[in-house]
Amino acid sequence: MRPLEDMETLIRKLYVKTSTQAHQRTLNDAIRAQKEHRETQSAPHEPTVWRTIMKSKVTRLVTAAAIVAGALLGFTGVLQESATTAYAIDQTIEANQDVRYVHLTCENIRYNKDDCTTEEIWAKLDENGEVVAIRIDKGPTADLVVATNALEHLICKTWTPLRNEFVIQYVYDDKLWQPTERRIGNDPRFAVELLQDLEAEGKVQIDIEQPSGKGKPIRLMATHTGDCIRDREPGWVYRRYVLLIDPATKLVRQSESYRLIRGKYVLRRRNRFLEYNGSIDPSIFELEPPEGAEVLDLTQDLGLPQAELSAAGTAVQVVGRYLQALISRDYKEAARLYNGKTPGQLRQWVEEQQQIKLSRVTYLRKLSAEHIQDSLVFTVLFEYEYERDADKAITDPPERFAESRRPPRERGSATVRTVPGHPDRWVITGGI
Amino acid sequence: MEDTLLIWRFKRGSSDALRRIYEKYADDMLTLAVSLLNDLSAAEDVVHDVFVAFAQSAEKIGLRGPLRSYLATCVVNLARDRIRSRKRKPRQLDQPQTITSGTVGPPGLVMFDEQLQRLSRAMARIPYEQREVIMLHLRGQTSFREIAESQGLSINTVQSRYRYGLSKLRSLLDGEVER
Repeated sequence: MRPLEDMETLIRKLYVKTSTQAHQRTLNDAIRAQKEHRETQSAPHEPTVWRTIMKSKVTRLVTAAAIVAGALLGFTGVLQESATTAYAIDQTIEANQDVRYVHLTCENIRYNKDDCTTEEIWAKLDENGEVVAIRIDKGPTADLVVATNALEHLICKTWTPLRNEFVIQYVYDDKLWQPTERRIGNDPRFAVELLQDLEAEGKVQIDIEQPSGKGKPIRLMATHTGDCIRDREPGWVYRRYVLLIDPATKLVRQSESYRLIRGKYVLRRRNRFLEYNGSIDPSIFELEPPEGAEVLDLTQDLGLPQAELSAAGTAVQVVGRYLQALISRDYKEAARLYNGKTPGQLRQWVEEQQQIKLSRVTYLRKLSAEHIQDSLVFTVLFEYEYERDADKAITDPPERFAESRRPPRERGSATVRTVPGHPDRWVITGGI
Repeated sequence: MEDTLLIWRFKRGSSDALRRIYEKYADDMLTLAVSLLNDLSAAEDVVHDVFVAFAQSAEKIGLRGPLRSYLATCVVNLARDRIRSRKRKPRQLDQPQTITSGTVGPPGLVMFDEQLQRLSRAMARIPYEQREVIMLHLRGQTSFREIAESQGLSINTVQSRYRYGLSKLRSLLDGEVER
């Protein structure tokens, strides 16, 4: 008799693919239904202020107090005034609907002051919150990044003044404002709604303080609960967010991310939202190579064509060829197979940071396939033999081994997906 | 995080987000529906109706768990309704149809290898309640607690149905091999 675990594995393998006809019919009908529904619901949306008020302990108390006071005073105008002035998250969500431009600064705060960085960001968003264009200025000696949406994918241009290098590359939109804490920090529209959803799921507790002084910001504090820790999603490393909200516009003025370290909440990131919907010069989203800069256009001839192999077979082949290119120290070829890496960066990684010489690939296999955004992403496991200081070893990159203290035979992994705008070409997008 | 972002954009009225959600989960939901209904055409209708209803629910949707579980629960509920209405018709509920029609299936149906075909035949022979729990748990990635809550059952009942269902499947499959 086969064990029950085998049955579970077998059931997980059951797979029925939707026919093209049914697929198209359902998708078209769903999108049409969504459009029709949107049109019929187009009347101004009333914020569910009462529901949100009652979610917060503080505002619950305020409301309860107002009701008691109202009862004592025979429901004079006091009740009405108290209820209408109480802040609710939905007010910020409503205010965010019209945000199309954001200008902000982001401070990354570290224990060592030399490691602290400040970035200035300008972002243009569409009505769905999608990034249309973004400029990230990391300081006079650090990278200047501009990404713009072109033909449904983002092209990112980066100028590194120290090397006077100008790199053009694709950026996958799910990576642009990732990870999550960056999204919460940088995109206030996302932050408040996400925090509200997480509160509904019991993963954060939200407390709102509304000062009585005119012009003083409303303070919204969201702290992860035990549930969140047990069910933590990737990227959820911070444990507390504090948003300061403008009492007049209801937009976020400042956000702070804290991380719980040895029982204390330590400030790690502070974003100041300098301006919403300001008059941003469109040229701010344009970046041309400065004079004398070395231009590296990594979007050209990127990836490996699928040809006659299956998608999974091509994904494995991309990783195999990449490793072979590193073995033969052909960094130009390796960079062609790894999105966003220049030949110089790969050479530096292998020869200066790792100080290794790859000698042969000892293991290569597809691990899994999943959908991210609308593209298929493969994870490929690999293992290679390398030499360092005349010693040979088989492992994934040694610095990962040292950090995680994993056994030396732990395999490395790479993610592979299609090149933006080229569904027949596959490229490594991370993991090695 | 991916689903949270998709839902956020979907709630903002993004048809692109709806398309991505559909493309991500359509095959999984169809597999679930076929396993419950044992009829490809009826299963496609269920998936169609679930996604159309989902498209109209942007402002109502309040997920307390993963999106996959939410959609799977919608599929299960609708499939149950279809089965109830079918019961009033002369056709046999668990009479193997599409999915067990041999190696040549209708267009769009990827026929499984021999072992999986036997599994799908066996699946049609276990009680519907057990099938539902097994598929929700294994394919909908819904926890026993969530299944119990959504169906108004005790968690022990749900776990028993799961265990008995798997045992029954196993004995059906082993019996088939022995024959």
